[in-house]
Amino acid sequence: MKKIISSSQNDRKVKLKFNDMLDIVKNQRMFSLFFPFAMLLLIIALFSILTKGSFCTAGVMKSIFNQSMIIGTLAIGMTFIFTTGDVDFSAGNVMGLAAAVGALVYQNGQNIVTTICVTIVMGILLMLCNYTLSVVLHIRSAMVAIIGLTLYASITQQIVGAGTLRIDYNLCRNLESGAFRYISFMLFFGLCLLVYYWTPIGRQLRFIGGNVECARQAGINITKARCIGFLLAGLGIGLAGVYQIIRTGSVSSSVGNGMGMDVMLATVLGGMSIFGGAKSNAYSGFTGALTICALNQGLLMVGVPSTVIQGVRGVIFLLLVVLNSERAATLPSRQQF
Amino acid sequence: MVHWKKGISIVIKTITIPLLIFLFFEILDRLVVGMGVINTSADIKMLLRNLVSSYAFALAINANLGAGRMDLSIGGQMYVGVIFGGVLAIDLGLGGVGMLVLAMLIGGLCGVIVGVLFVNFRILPMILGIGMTLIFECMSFSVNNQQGVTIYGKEGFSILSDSAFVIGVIIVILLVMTILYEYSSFGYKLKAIQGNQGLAHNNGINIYINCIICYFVAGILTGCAGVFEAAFKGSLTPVLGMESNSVVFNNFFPMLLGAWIGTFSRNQTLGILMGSLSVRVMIIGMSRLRLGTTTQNIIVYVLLLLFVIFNTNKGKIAYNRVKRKRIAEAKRMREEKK
Repeated sequence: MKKIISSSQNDRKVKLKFNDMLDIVKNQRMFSLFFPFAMLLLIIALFSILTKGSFCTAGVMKSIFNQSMIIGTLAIGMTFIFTTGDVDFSAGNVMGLAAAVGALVYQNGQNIVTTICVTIVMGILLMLCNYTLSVVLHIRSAMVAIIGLTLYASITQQIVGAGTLRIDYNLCRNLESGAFRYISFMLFFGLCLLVYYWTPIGRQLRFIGGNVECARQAGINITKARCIGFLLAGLGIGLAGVYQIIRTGSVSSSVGNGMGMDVMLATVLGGMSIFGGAKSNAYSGFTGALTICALNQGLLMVGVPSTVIQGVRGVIFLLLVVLNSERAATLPSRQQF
Repeated sequence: MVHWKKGISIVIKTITIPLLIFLFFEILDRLVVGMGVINTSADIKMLLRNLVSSYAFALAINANLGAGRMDLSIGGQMYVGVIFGGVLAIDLGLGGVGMLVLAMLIGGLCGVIVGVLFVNFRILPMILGIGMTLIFECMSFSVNNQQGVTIYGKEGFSILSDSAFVIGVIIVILLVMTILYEYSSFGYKLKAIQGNQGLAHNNGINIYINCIICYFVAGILTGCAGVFEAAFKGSLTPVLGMESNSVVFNNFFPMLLGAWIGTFSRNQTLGILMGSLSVRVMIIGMSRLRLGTTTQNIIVYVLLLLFVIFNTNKGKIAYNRVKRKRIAEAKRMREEKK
């Protein structure tokens, strides 16, 4: 760290410390765009070397993609909320409740199309409920998330009871192995990219995340933009609920527990601040989810015990966050409640 | 005379909420099931054990939250403190008091580690909390063959269930935290930081040391809360996958309600004690009605939601009330002119 590097600027010798050089690189726009991908590739390359190539096979890559699909879909949707600076970690339990209601509908009608539709609609409705609480009733989003997390988990437990809600196994297996998941995921991802980068809503959401007062004075309809953000997040959550149902063929009372935190973990690992702003990216959550799953798979294949994996993941997560974030002049804080 | 009146008014405002909740459930329980909220000494014992745990944890959340730092790792700190402290206390034959002291020290050490990392890395507290939770959960899972700590039936640990001891611990926490927050330079500086961190820093307050002390205090309190949680259940089993966060979220209601009561009592520590007592009485009252845990949770969190909606919008409600009064006054004056 104490290494001093000299560079010439305007015929003067300017001495830059290593930390200053690092800050210059980190502040480049391209750095935040490519850093998560570079980390993902580095992890793949590292584990490919450590496992003598067996990590880098089509089967393992497909498995990583499949594992990251639920968290990835949740994270892509939640990006629209994180971008505005709202912190919502109830996504996992919203998904759990949507999936439980979907499974309940299946048990009463045995129709998978209705189940899929109901799960998606429930995801959207529950996120509209969160929207009403945080935007219309002005409750801090983190507070809404804390209440929502426990409330939705309790309602899910009440619906599911002690057992599980089962869906026809063969039907789920066909849906899982077929093209449904990939096509629906690609459509959703494409829609999110389109809205985020090529419509005024995406720009407005990033503007709101950067400075909400400035956005308001620039004439942006903040309520409408955030409503669309919550709707898209709800769509992602509903879709993730459908993937959850067809992946396991059942819904238990603990479905979705802890997933909200995983979504935040994935989003931050994907190179985005959970407090949003101009540097937010729609794909960060999915990149982060891929990184987490690649890390888990790689550590398992190298022979790290499953209990230690979580600790290693925590250390790597903190290292990546430190590398990818600017060091504040004083202590970062934010009034959340 | 005026001084005394003010004092009595503060006392009444402080005890009103828990008293009202107690009376409501006392009447409801007697009407529905024919027995009150508290009937036997076992009920008092259960209330006290739950109260001390909830109170210490709510204070731990409040230690950092007031300064805009939401530390999600305190659940993990609790598991590390209690499991490491408990295993050490059993091995060394230190008994319940030894376990309490060790768990508080180890919890405090975990808090200092998080605080030092936060001051040096300066990443968002919530993000640091998530990372540290992963590490702490892994640590607590790795010791004692993933069994956690079992104190049920162990010699010397029954003191943790003794009502007099629990009351003593509550009083000690109340006194120490009141002195720390209300009558020490640390508390004075913390209030300045809560007001405006930048201004406090420019005025020469060492915000970094203050922050580390806050994390240390939170760690000590989580260790204390965890020991009584383990005493109540008989054991503490480690968790993975950030499940320790649920302990943090479960104690938000006592903390928020307590902080609100604290605005009347002018003492946050006492307010949080009253908030914790209110929630615990509410839960016992609902248990008497033979409501399941999930139903209880739904009722408690719907109440929390209503409380938060009221607390957030009370300014608006007051504004609308004044506005309505002004309009009525204007109408009345117009009528008089006619």
